[in-house]
Amino acid sequence: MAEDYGLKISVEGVSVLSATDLQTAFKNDSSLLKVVQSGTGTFGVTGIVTVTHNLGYVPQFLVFQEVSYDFGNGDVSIVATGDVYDQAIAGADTTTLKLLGNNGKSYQYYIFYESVDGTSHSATVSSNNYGIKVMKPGYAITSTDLENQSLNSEKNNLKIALTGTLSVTSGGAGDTGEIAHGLSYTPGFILWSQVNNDGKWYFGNSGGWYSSGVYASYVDSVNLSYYHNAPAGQNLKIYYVLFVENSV
Amino acid sequence: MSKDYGIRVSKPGYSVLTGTDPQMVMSSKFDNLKIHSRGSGTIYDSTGRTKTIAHGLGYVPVFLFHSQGDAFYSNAFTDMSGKYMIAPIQLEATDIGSPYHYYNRSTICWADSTNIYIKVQDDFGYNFAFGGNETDNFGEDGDSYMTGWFGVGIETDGSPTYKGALRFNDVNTSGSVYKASIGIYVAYAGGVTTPVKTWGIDEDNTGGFGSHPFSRDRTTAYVANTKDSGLGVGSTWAYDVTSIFNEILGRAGWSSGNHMAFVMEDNGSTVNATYFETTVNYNDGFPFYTPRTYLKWLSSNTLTNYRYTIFKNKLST
Repeated sequence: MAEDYGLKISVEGVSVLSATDLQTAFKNDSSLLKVVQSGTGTFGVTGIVTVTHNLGYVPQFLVFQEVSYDFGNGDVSIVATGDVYDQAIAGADTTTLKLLGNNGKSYQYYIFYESVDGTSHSATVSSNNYGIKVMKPGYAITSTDLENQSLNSEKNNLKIALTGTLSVTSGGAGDTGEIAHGLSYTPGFILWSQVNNDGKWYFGNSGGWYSSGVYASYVDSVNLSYYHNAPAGQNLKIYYVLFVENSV
Repeated sequence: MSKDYGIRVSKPGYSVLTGTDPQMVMSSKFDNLKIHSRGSGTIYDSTGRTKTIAHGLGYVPVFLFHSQGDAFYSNAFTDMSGKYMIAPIQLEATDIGSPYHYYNRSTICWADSTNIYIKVQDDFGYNFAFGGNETDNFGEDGDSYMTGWFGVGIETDGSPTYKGALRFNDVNTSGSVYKASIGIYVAYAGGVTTPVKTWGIDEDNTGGFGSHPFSRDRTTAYVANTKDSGLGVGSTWAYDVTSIFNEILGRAGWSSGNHMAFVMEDNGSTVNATYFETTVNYNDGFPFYTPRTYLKWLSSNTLTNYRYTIFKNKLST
């Protein structure tokens, strides 16, 4: 049923009256990932950083780290994997986010209010008398539970600066390539890959030995670089999302 | 060029008129990741290692999986026990012990226009033990002994009848396990059907086979099965030994890290024996470099808990 209340913002060039869900930058029936905590730092000799969030539930998070293996200092990888190759691992429980990395390498983390499973919780935010607050359908504007709010101007959201699809013919396993992003900063990013048009899109650096897709991906202020194991002659597709928010 | 339409919402402390893009909480200049649905579940060994979740969107959506790693992530360095990591987890085949070997114990995830999927690979959750040297195995053909390999079955003239014993070091578990199996490398004359009966050696901590092991006490539990003729030389014959394994673990004197042994005898062969190699022999199929003779066990039917988030955003396909 179409609702005649709430807030809907269409993407540029599309009428807000006729925009589909895919053509909206925001619609109040969907939560955005609202940043509750973020930070940067450098790993010490232990290679361990523990961030306390004390939310009482497992939150969504993203972690980016500088890597050193083969790819040059300053390149940044998404830590979307238990990447034992680079010793770049991150995991969260109900009280902490733990990062494992390499001595002297930088990291950036984002912890979001949204839980990983959608279960309700009682995370609240102080109520300011300024700004904007948009509720999901069915919730009172007086609710302070961020899970019930699709937007709250007290909390930043991950904003998508750029998306794109790359389609190339593989030169062979171990092949590499670069995508110039033109953003002039080192953005946070996530990506998926597909090999041989098989219809399966694998998240992150997951190709490797298992699906022959992307097994490593890195970003700097100029390029998004990728390594893959697609057999020679097969099609490799990469879908990438780059954020306004920085990585390291 | 600055547009005079749309919406901009600034972070507290920044002017919406002059703030930069990173200083905005949202701007209609940018799309956002919009959550469609979230959920959770558990992957059990008994119900299949792949979970399929219908999303109903009709296109391939942006998605994230969070799940817990297996025991590998509980070691002293990683210590991610109980923590949720963004899958895929452990993209590389990984050496987790001695002898040098790699396992396929990762968690991967993918999506198509109908479902999202999460899968834990075949070795996820398993622990392994191996024989270390030639005192860990023993073969007998009636009038002579051998180490490093043994046969089960008969020669074409009906004599002698081969049998063997195999010991595994450092079985690091106690109590009882959900599942245990043994794998033995088929080294010679594999293309025959060989009926085999397997017992455990009923000891707390089986010592090396410096002498004839076949008179040692055996477990009450045994497994009677048949190596199929389709398992040729170079393959591994693997079969379930859970009842034997748990009987030995149930001994009052058993301690985690002790050694465990099995005895295999012919169970009515009518054709040539099969010969098994019991020293470490590797499957070198890149990238997995796994011993072909092993004892492995799964402590629990529960493999991992997972969480998923599906966004309304569409992967450009």
